[in-house]
Amino acid sequence: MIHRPVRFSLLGLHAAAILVFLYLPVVTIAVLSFNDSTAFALPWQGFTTRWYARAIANPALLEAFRNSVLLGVGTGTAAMILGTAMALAFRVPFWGKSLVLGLILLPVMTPPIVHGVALAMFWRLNDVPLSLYGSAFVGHLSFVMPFVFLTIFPRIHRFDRSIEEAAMDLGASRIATFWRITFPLMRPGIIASGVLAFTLSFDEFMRTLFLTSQELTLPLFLWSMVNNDPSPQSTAVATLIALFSLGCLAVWTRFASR
Amino acid sequence: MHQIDRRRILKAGAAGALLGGLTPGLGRGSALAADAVPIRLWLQSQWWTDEYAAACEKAIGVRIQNTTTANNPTTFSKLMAGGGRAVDVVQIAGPFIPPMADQGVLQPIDMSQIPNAKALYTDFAKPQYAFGKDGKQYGVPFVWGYDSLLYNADKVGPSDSFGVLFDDKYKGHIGLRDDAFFGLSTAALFLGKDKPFALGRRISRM
Repeated sequence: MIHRPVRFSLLGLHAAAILVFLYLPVVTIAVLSFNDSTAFALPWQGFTTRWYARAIANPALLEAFRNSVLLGVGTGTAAMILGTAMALAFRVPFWGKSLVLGLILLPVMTPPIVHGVALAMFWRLNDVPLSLYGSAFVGHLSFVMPFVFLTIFPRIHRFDRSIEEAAMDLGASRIATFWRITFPLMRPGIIASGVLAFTLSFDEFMRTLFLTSQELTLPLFLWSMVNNDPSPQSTAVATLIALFSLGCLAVWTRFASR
Repeated sequence: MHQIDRRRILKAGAAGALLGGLTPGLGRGSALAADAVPIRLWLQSQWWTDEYAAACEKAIGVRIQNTTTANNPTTFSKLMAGGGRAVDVVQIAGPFIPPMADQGVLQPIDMSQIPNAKALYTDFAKPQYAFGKDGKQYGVPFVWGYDSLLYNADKVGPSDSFGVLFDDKYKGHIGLRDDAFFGLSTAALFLGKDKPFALGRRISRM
Protein backbone atom coordinates (compact mmCIF):
# COMPACT_ATOMS: atom_id res chain seq x y z
CA MET A 1 0.00 0.00 0.00
CA ILE A 2 1.37 3.41 -0.91
CA HIS A 3 1.98 5.81 1.93
CA ARG A 4 -0.17 8.90 1.49
CA PRO A 5 2.63 11.51 1.60
CA VAL A 6 4.54 9.69 -1.17
CA ARG A 7 1.48 9.51 -3.38
CA PHE A 8 0.77 13.17 -2.79
CA SER A 9 4.21 14.31 -3.97
CA LEU A 10 4.13 12.09 -7.04
CA LEU A 11 0.82 13.56 -8.05
CA GLY A 12 2.08 17.05 -7.34
CA LEU A 13 5.16 16.42 -9.43
CA HIS A 14 3.05 15.05 -12.24
CA ALA A 15 0.74 18.05 -12.13
CA ALA A 16 3.66 20.46 -12.04
CA ALA A 17 5.23 18.78 -15.05
CA ILE A 18 2.01 19.11 -17.04
CA LEU A 19 1.62 22.76 -16.12
CA VAL A 20 5.21 23.49 -17.09
CA PHE A 21 4.80 21.68 -20.40
CA LEU A 22 1.65 23.66 -21.17
CA TYR A 23 2.68 27.09 -20.01
CA LEU A 24 6.45 27.31 -20.43
CA PRO A 25 6.11 28.38 -24.11
CA VAL A 26 3.65 31.12 -23.17
CA VAL A 27 5.87 32.33 -20.34
CA THR A 28 8.87 32.28 -22.69
CA ILE A 29 7.05 34.46 -25.17
CA ALA A 30 6.06 36.86 -22.41
CA VAL A 31 9.64 37.07 -21.17
CA LEU A 32 11.01 37.64 -24.68
CA SER A 33 8.55 40.48 -25.19
CA PHE A 34 10.67 42.60 -22.86
CA ASN A 35 13.86 41.88 -24.81
CA ASP A 36 15.63 44.99 -26.08
CA SER A 37 16.74 43.30 -29.26
CA THR A 38 15.96 43.45 -32.97
CA ALA A 39 14.97 39.79 -33.12
CA PHE A 40 12.48 37.90 -31.00
CA ALA A 41 15.03 35.42 -29.80
CA LEU A 42 17.85 35.19 -27.32
CA PRO A 43 20.40 36.55 -26.48
CA TRP A 44 18.88 38.81 -23.93
CA GLN A 45 19.95 42.34 -24.63
CA GLY A 46 18.31 44.33 -21.91
CA PHE A 47 14.89 45.08 -20.52
CA THR A 48 12.48 47.35 -22.35
CA THR A 49 8.77 48.01 -22.58
CA ARG A 50 8.94 49.73 -25.94
CA TRP A 51 7.34 46.84 -27.77
CA TYR A 52 4.22 47.30 -25.67
CA ALA A 53 4.29 51.06 -26.16
CA ARG A 54 4.54 50.58 -29.91
CA ALA A 55 1.82 47.96 -29.92
CA ILE A 56 -0.64 50.18 -28.08
CA ALA A 57 0.16 53.11 -30.37
CA ASN A 58 -0.22 51.09 -33.60
CA PRO A 59 -3.44 52.15 -35.36
CA ALA A 60 -3.65 49.00 -37.46
CA LEU A 61 -3.42 46.87 -34.34
CA LEU A 62 -6.05 48.92 -32.53
CA GLU A 63 -8.36 48.60 -35.50
CA ALA A 64 -7.81 44.85 -35.64
CA PHE A 65 -8.48 44.64 -31.90
CA ARG A 66 -11.64 46.68 -32.30
CA ASN A 67 -12.79 44.42 -35.14
CA SER A 68 -12.13 41.32 -33.06
CA VAL A 69 -13.98 42.67 -30.04
CA LEU A 70 -17.01 43.86 -32.00
CA LEU A 71 -17.22 40.66 -33.99
CA GLY A 72 -16.83 38.67 -30.77
CA VAL A 73 -19.58 40.60 -29.01
CA GLY A 74 -21.88 40.16 -31.98
CA THR A 75 -21.11 36.46 -32.26
CA GLY A 76 -21.48 35.95 -28.50
CA THR A 77 -24.80 37.73 -28.31
CA ALA A 78 -26.28 35.99 -31.33
CA ALA A 79 -24.97 32.63 -30.15
CA MET A 80 -26.45 33.18 -26.68
CA ILE A 81 -29.89 33.92 -28.08
CA LEU A 82 -29.90 31.19 -30.69
CA GLY A 83 -28.29 28.67 -28.38
CA THR A 84 -30.84 29.28 -25.64
CA ALA A 85 -33.69 28.98 -28.09
CA MET A 86 -32.25 25.76 -29.44
CA ALA A 87 -31.67 24.33 -26.00
CA LEU A 88 -35.23 25.13 -24.99
CA ALA A 89 -36.51 23.50 -28.17
CA PHE A 90 -34.60 20.35 -27.37
CA ARG A 91 -36.68 19.83 -24.26
CA VAL A 92 -39.53 18.44 -26.37
CA PRO A 93 -39.33 15.62 -28.86
CA PHE A 94 -39.64 16.56 -32.51
CA TRP A 95 -39.04 14.88 -35.81
CA GLY A 96 -35.38 14.79 -36.86
CA LYS A 97 -34.04 15.69 -33.44
CA SER A 98 -30.92 13.58 -33.67
CA LEU A 99 -30.27 14.82 -37.21
CA VAL A 100 -30.49 18.40 -36.02
CA LEU A 101 -28.16 17.59 -33.14
CA GLY A 102 -25.69 16.13 -35.60
CA LEU A 103 -25.87 19.22 -37.79
CA ILE A 104 -25.36 21.47 -34.79
CA LEU A 105 -22.25 19.58 -33.76
CA LEU A 106 -20.84 19.29 -37.29
CA PRO A 107 -18.75 22.50 -37.25
CA VAL A 108 -16.82 21.23 -34.26
CA MET A 109 -15.69 18.15 -36.11
CA THR A 110 -14.89 19.89 -39.37
CA PRO A 111 -11.25 20.99 -39.73
CA PRO A 112 -11.15 24.78 -39.56
CA ILE A 113 -9.50 25.20 -42.93
CA VAL A 114 -12.07 23.00 -44.63
CA HIS A 115 -14.87 24.94 -42.98
CA GLY A 116 -13.33 28.27 -43.98
CA VAL A 117 -12.67 27.33 -47.59
CA ALA A 118 -16.10 25.73 -47.97
CA LEU A 119 -17.84 28.84 -46.66
CA ALA A 120 -15.71 31.10 -48.86
CA MET A 121 -16.61 29.08 -51.92
CA PHE A 122 -20.27 29.11 -50.91
CA TRP A 123 -20.32 32.89 -50.72
CA ARG A 124 -18.48 33.14 -53.99
CA LEU A 125 -20.91 30.87 -55.80
CA ASN A 126 -23.76 33.04 -54.56
CA ASP A 127 -21.99 36.28 -55.51
CA VAL A 128 -21.89 37.53 -51.93
CA PRO A 129 -18.80 39.64 -51.16
CA LEU A 130 -16.74 38.79 -48.12
CA SER A 131 -17.05 41.11 -45.16
CA LEU A 132 -16.35 41.16 -41.46
CA TYR A 133 -19.94 41.45 -40.24
CA GLY A 134 -21.31 39.30 -43.05
CA SER A 135 -19.36 36.23 -44.07
CA ALA A 136 -16.98 36.25 -41.10
CA PHE A 137 -19.83 36.71 -38.64
CA VAL A 138 -21.76 33.78 -40.09
CA GLY A 139 -18.65 31.62 -40.07
CA HIS A 140 -17.89 32.46 -36.44
CA LEU A 141 -21.50 31.91 -35.42
CA SER A 142 -21.66 28.47 -37.00
CA PHE A 143 -18.40 27.59 -35.26
CA VAL A 144 -19.41 28.68 -31.74
CA MET A 145 -23.00 27.40 -31.83
CA PRO A 146 -22.10 23.82 -30.83
CA PHE A 147 -20.12 25.03 -27.83
CA VAL A 148 -22.88 27.34 -26.70
CA PHE A 149 -25.51 24.68 -27.16
CA LEU A 150 -23.50 22.08 -25.28
CA THR A 151 -22.97 24.52 -22.42
CA ILE A 152 -26.59 25.55 -22.02
CA PHE A 153 -28.37 22.32 -22.81
CA PRO A 154 -27.22 20.28 -19.76
CA ARG A 155 -28.46 23.04 -17.49
CA ILE A 156 -31.83 23.13 -19.18
CA HIS A 157 -32.00 19.39 -19.08
CA ARG A 158 -31.47 19.40 -15.32
CA PHE A 159 -33.99 22.14 -14.87
CA ASP A 160 -37.11 21.11 -12.98
CA ARG A 161 -40.08 21.87 -15.18
CA SER A 162 -42.50 21.60 -12.32
CA ILE A 163 -41.40 25.08 -11.24
CA GLU A 164 -42.53 26.39 -14.61
CA GLU A 165 -45.78 24.48 -14.36
CA ALA A 166 -46.38 25.93 -10.91
CA ALA A 167 -45.89 29.43 -12.24
CA MET A 168 -48.29 28.84 -15.09
CA ASP A 169 -50.81 27.31 -12.68
CA LEU A 170 -50.65 30.55 -10.74
CA GLY A 171 -51.58 32.46 -13.88
CA ALA A 172 -48.29 33.50 -15.47
CA SER A 173 -48.19 33.56 -19.26
CA ARG A 174 -45.54 31.51 -21.01
CA ILE A 175 -43.48 34.58 -21.78
CA ALA A 176 -43.67 35.76 -18.17
CA THR A 177 -42.79 32.28 -16.96
CA PHE A 178 -39.76 32.20 -19.15
CA TRP A 179 -38.62 35.71 -18.39
CA ARG A 180 -39.16 35.67 -14.64
CA ILE A 181 -38.59 32.06 -13.67
CA THR A 182 -36.68 30.05 -16.24
CA PHE A 183 -34.33 32.68 -17.56
CA PRO A 184 -33.02 33.99 -14.20
CA LEU A 185 -32.21 30.45 -13.13
CA MET A 186 -30.47 29.74 -16.42
CA ARG A 187 -28.78 33.10 -16.65
CA PRO A 188 -25.34 32.19 -15.26
CA GLY A 189 -25.10 29.36 -17.77
CA ILE A 190 -26.26 31.55 -20.63
CA ILE A 191 -23.78 34.28 -19.80
CA ALA A 192 -21.01 31.71 -19.40
CA SER A 193 -21.80 30.39 -22.85
CA GLY A 194 -21.82 33.93 -24.21
CA VAL A 195 -18.37 34.63 -22.79
CA LEU A 196 -17.16 31.30 -24.16
CA ALA A 197 -18.54 32.21 -27.57
CA PHE A 198 -16.82 35.59 -27.39
CA THR A 199 -13.47 34.02 -26.53
CA LEU A 200 -13.77 31.41 -29.25
CA SER A 201 -14.63 34.07 -31.79
CA PHE A 202 -11.85 36.37 -30.60
CA ASP A 203 -9.22 33.65 -30.97
CA GLU A 204 -10.60 32.23 -34.21
CA PHE A 205 -8.01 32.38 -36.97
CA MET A 206 -8.28 29.84 -39.74
CA ARG A 207 -11.88 30.38 -40.75
CA THR A 208 -11.54 34.15 -40.52
CA LEU A 209 -8.59 34.00 -42.88
CA PHE A 210 -10.85 32.89 -45.69
CA LEU A 211 -13.91 34.90 -44.74
CA THR A 212 -12.55 38.44 -44.62
CA SER A 213 -11.12 40.51 -47.40
CA GLN A 214 -10.44 44.07 -46.32
CA GLU A 215 -10.71 43.85 -42.55
CA LEU A 216 -8.30 42.17 -40.20
CA THR A 217 -9.06 40.62 -36.86
CA LEU A 218 -6.40 40.53 -34.18
CA PRO A 219 -5.27 36.94 -34.87
CA LEU A 220 -4.93 37.75 -38.58
CA PHE A 221 -2.99 40.88 -37.73
CA LEU A 222 -0.66 38.91 -35.50
CA TRP A 223 -0.18 36.29 -38.23
CA SER A 224 0.82 38.98 -40.67
CA MET A 225 3.18 40.50 -38.13
CA VAL A 226 4.84 37.19 -37.32
CA ASN A 227 5.43 36.56 -41.01
CA ASN A 228 6.87 39.94 -41.82
CA ASP A 229 8.43 41.41 -38.69
CA PRO A 230 11.28 39.64 -36.90
CA SER A 231 11.37 42.00 -33.92
CA PRO A 232 9.93 41.16 -30.47
CA GLN A 233 6.89 43.24 -31.44
CA SER A 234 4.89 40.11 -32.20
CA THR A 235 5.73 38.59 -28.81
CA ALA A 236 4.34 41.68 -27.10
CA VAL A 237 1.13 41.46 -29.12
CA ALA A 238 0.87 37.75 -28.41
CA THR A 239 1.30 38.34 -24.68
CA LEU A 240 -1.41 41.00 -24.70
CA ILE A 241 -3.76 38.62 -26.50
CA ALA A 242 -2.96 35.87 -23.99
CA LEU A 243 -3.68 38.19 -21.07
CA PHE A 244 -6.93 39.32 -22.62
CA SER A 245 -8.01 35.71 -23.19
CA LEU A 246 -7.09 34.86 -19.61
CA GLY A 247 -9.28 37.71 -18.45
CA CYS A 248 -12.19 36.40 -20.49
CA LEU A 249 -11.57 32.95 -19.06
CA ALA A 250 -11.70 34.34 -15.53
CA VAL A 251 -15.05 35.95 -16.27
CA TRP A 252 -16.31 32.72 -17.78
CA THR A 253 -15.22 30.69 -14.76
CA ARG A 254 -17.07 33.03 -12.44
CA PHE A 255 -20.33 32.50 -14.31
CA ALA A 256 -19.90 28.86 -15.22
CA SER A 257 -19.41 27.65 -11.68
CA ARG A 258 -22.74 28.92 -10.46
CA MET B 1 31.35 25.44 -56.45
CA HIS B 2 29.15 27.04 -59.05
CA GLN B 3 28.83 30.75 -59.13
CA ILE B 4 25.17 31.53 -59.00
CA ASP B 5 23.85 34.46 -60.92
CA ARG B 6 22.14 36.40 -58.15
CA ARG B 7 20.22 38.55 -60.51
CA ARG B 8 18.56 35.60 -62.19
CA ILE B 9 17.31 34.21 -58.93
CA LEU B 10 16.05 37.44 -57.53
CA LYS B 11 14.29 38.57 -60.65
CA ALA B 12 11.94 35.65 -60.42
CA GLY B 13 10.98 36.44 -56.89
CA ALA B 14 8.27 39.03 -57.08
CA ALA B 15 5.48 40.44 -59.13
CA GLY B 16 2.08 42.01 -58.69
CA ALA B 17 -1.25 41.06 -60.15
CA LEU B 18 -4.29 43.07 -61.05
CA LEU B 19 -7.70 41.71 -60.17
CA GLY B 20 -10.34 44.33 -60.86
CA GLY B 21 -9.71 46.59 -63.79
CA LEU B 22 -7.95 49.84 -63.10
CA THR B 23 -10.44 52.50 -64.08
CA PRO B 24 -9.50 54.48 -67.18
CA GLY B 25 -9.88 57.63 -65.09
CA LEU B 26 -6.88 56.78 -62.98
CA GLY B 27 -4.29 59.48 -63.20
CA ARG B 28 -6.69 62.14 -64.33
CA GLY B 29 -7.90 64.59 -61.72
CA SER B 30 -5.75 65.77 -58.88
CA ALA B 31 -8.26 66.19 -56.05
CA LEU B 32 -8.96 63.26 -53.78
CA ALA B 33 -12.67 62.61 -53.75
CA ALA B 34 -13.43 61.89 -50.14
CA ASP B 35 -16.39 59.64 -50.77
CA ALA B 36 -15.05 57.86 -53.82
CA VAL B 37 -14.55 54.12 -53.76
CA PRO B 38 -10.95 53.40 -52.78
CA ILE B 39 -8.62 51.06 -54.55
CA ARG B 40 -8.29 47.99 -52.36
CA LEU B 41 -4.89 46.40 -52.02
CA TRP B 42 -3.44 43.32 -50.49
CA LEU B 43 0.19 44.05 -49.78
CA GLN B 44 2.56 42.59 -47.26
CA SER B 45 3.27 45.05 -44.50
CA GLN B 46 6.83 45.87 -45.41
CA TRP B 47 5.84 47.20 -48.82
CA TRP B 48 3.34 49.73 -47.57
CA THR B 49 4.41 52.54 -45.31
CA ASP B 50 2.47 55.67 -44.43
CA GLU B 51 4.80 57.92 -46.41
CA TYR B 52 4.53 55.68 -49.44
CA ALA B 53 0.75 55.57 -49.14
CA ALA B 54 0.48 59.36 -48.87
CA ALA B 55 2.75 59.94 -51.86
CA CYS B 56 0.89 57.35 -53.89
CA GLU B 57 -2.54 58.78 -53.14
CA LYS B 58 -1.34 62.26 -53.95
CA ALA B 59 0.14 61.14 -57.25
CA ILE B 60 -2.88 59.29 -58.60
CA GLY B 61 -5.67 61.16 -56.86
CA VAL B 62 -7.51 58.10 -55.60
CA ARG B 63 -7.72 56.82 -52.04
CA ILE B 64 -5.92 53.55 -51.45
CA GLN B 65 -6.87 51.07 -48.78
CA ASN B 66 -4.45 48.32 -47.89
CA THR B 67 -4.99 45.13 -45.93
CA THR B 68 -1.76 43.46 -44.92
CA THR B 69 -1.33 39.87 -45.97
CA ALA B 70 0.96 37.39 -44.32
CA ASN B 71 2.70 35.41 -47.01
CA ASN B 72 2.34 34.17 -50.56
CA PRO B 73 0.76 30.75 -50.00
CA THR B 74 -1.93 32.26 -47.77
CA THR B 75 -2.77 34.93 -50.32
CA PHE B 76 -2.84 32.31 -53.05
CA SER B 77 -5.24 30.09 -51.07
CA LYS B 78 -7.54 32.99 -50.35
CA LEU B 79 -7.69 34.02 -53.99
CA MET B 80 -8.31 30.51 -55.23
CA ALA B 81 -11.10 30.05 -52.68
CA GLY B 82 -12.91 33.02 -54.12
CA GLY B 83 -11.69 35.83 -51.92
CA GLY B 84 -10.66 37.97 -54.85
CA ARG B 85 -14.01 39.57 -55.43
CA ALA B 86 -13.45 42.28 -52.85
CA VAL B 87 -9.93 43.34 -53.71
CA ASP B 88 -8.52 45.21 -56.70
CA VAL B 89 -4.76 44.76 -56.63
CA VAL B 90 -2.85 41.94 -55.00
CA GLN B 91 0.85 41.49 -54.42
CA ILE B 92 2.03 37.93 -54.78
CA ALA B 93 5.21 36.22 -55.91
CA GLY B 94 5.65 35.60 -59.62
CA PRO B 95 5.33 31.80 -59.76
CA PHE B 96 1.81 31.94 -58.34
CA ILE B 97 0.48 34.00 -61.23
CA PRO B 98 0.19 31.51 -64.12
CA PRO B 99 -1.99 28.98 -62.22
CA MET B 100 -4.34 31.75 -61.11
CA ALA B 101 -4.44 33.30 -64.57
CA ASP B 102 -5.32 29.98 -66.15
CA GLN B 103 -8.11 29.45 -63.62
CA GLY B 104 -9.65 32.80 -64.44
CA VAL B 105 -9.00 34.25 -61.01
CA LEU B 106 -7.10 37.25 -62.41
CA GLN B 107 -7.92 39.86 -64.97
CA PRO B 108 -5.38 40.67 -67.69
CA ILE B 109 -3.60 44.00 -67.56
CA ASP B 110 -3.46 46.58 -70.28
CA MET B 111 0.12 47.76 -69.95
CA SER B 112 -0.53 50.73 -72.22
CA GLN B 113 -2.54 52.27 -69.37
CA ILE B 114 0.49 52.30 -67.07
CA PRO B 115 2.56 55.37 -67.97
CA ASN B 116 5.68 54.21 -66.14
CA ALA B 117 5.76 50.84 -67.88
CA LYS B 118 8.13 52.36 -70.45
CA ALA B 119 10.67 52.88 -67.68
CA LEU B 120 10.93 49.21 -66.70
CA TYR B 121 14.20 47.42 -67.23
CA THR B 122 13.99 45.32 -70.38
CA ASP B 123 14.56 42.20 -68.24
CA PHE B 124 11.35 42.99 -66.37
CA ALA B 125 9.25 44.39 -69.18
CA LYS B 126 7.62 41.12 -70.18
CA PRO B 127 8.53 38.59 -67.54
CA GLN B 128 7.60 35.06 -68.46
CA TYR B 129 6.03 34.36 -65.05
CA ALA B 130 3.46 37.14 -65.46
CA PHE B 131 1.82 35.63 -68.51
CA GLY B 132 -0.98 33.09 -68.70
CA LYS B 133 -1.44 30.38 -71.28
CA ASP B 134 -3.53 32.76 -73.35
CA GLY B 135 -0.54 35.04 -73.86
CA LYS B 136 -2.01 37.96 -71.92
CA GLN B 137 -0.10 39.73 -69.18
CA TYR B 138 -1.51 39.33 -65.68
CA GLY B 139 1.19 40.83 -63.52
CA VAL B 140 3.21 44.00 -63.22
CA PRO B 141 6.71 43.65 -61.78
CA PHE B 142 6.68 45.28 -58.40
CA VAL B 143 9.68 44.35 -56.31
CA TRP B 144 12.69 42.11 -56.60
CA GLY B 145 15.97 41.67 -54.86
CA TYR B 146 14.79 40.92 -51.37
CA ASP B 147 16.48 37.55 -51.08
CA SER B 148 19.68 38.31 -49.25
CA LEU B 149 22.47 36.23 -47.85
CA LEU B 150 22.96 36.72 -44.13
CA TYR B 151 25.90 35.17 -42.38
CA ASN B 152 27.76 35.40 -39.13
CA ALA B 153 30.99 37.14 -40.16
CA ASP B 154 32.81 35.58 -37.21
CA LYS B 155 32.17 32.09 -38.49
CA VAL B 156 31.92 32.49 -42.25
CA GLY B 157 34.36 34.32 -44.46
CA PRO B 158 33.10 37.06 -46.81
CA SER B 159 30.57 35.48 -49.15
CA ASP B 160 28.88 36.84 -52.21
CA SER B 161 27.41 33.65 -53.61
CA PHE B 162 24.35 31.63 -52.68
CA GLY B 163 26.58 28.60 -53.17
CA VAL B 164 27.71 29.01 -49.58
CA LEU B 165 24.27 27.68 -48.61
CA PHE B 166 25.21 24.32 -50.09
CA ASP B 167 28.73 24.15 -48.67
CA ASP B 168 29.19 20.95 -46.65
CA LYS B 169 31.35 22.90 -44.22
CA TYR B 170 28.21 24.56 -42.82
CA LYS B 171 26.07 21.46 -42.73
CA GLY B 172 23.48 21.73 -39.98
CA HIS B 173 23.88 25.49 -39.69
CA ILE B 174 21.90 26.69 -42.70
CA GLY B 175 18.46 28.25 -42.60
CA LEU B 176 16.37 28.90 -45.68
CA ARG B 177 13.26 30.99 -46.11
CA ASP B 178 10.15 28.83 -46.36
CA ASP B 179 9.78 29.41 -50.07
CA ALA B 180 9.76 26.38 -52.34
CA PHE B 181 10.47 28.40 -55.45
CA PHE B 182 13.55 30.00 -54.02
CA GLY B 183 14.90 26.83 -52.43
CA LEU B 184 14.47 24.58 -55.42
CA SER B 185 15.62 27.04 -58.07
CA THR B 186 18.69 27.99 -56.03
CA ALA B 187 19.59 24.33 -55.62
CA ALA B 188 19.08 23.74 -59.34
CA LEU B 189 21.34 26.66 -60.20
CA PHE B 190 23.96 25.34 -57.81
CA LEU B 191 23.81 21.92 -59.39
CA GLY B 192 24.14 23.47 -62.81
CA LYS B 193 20.79 22.25 -64.11
CA ASP B 194 19.54 23.55 -67.37
CA LYS B 195 16.54 25.91 -67.07
CA PRO B 196 16.51 26.09 -63.25
CA PHE B 197 13.17 27.93 -63.20
CA ALA B 198 11.39 25.37 -65.35
CA LEU B 199 12.41 22.13 -63.73
CA GLY B 200 9.22 20.17 -64.20
CA ARG B 201 9.71 16.49 -63.54
CA ARG B 202 13.45 16.90 -63.16
CA ILE B 203 12.78 18.02 -59.57
CA SER B 204 12.53 14.38 -58.51
CA ARG B 205 15.97 13.67 -59.93
CA MET B 206 17.82 16.62 -58.41
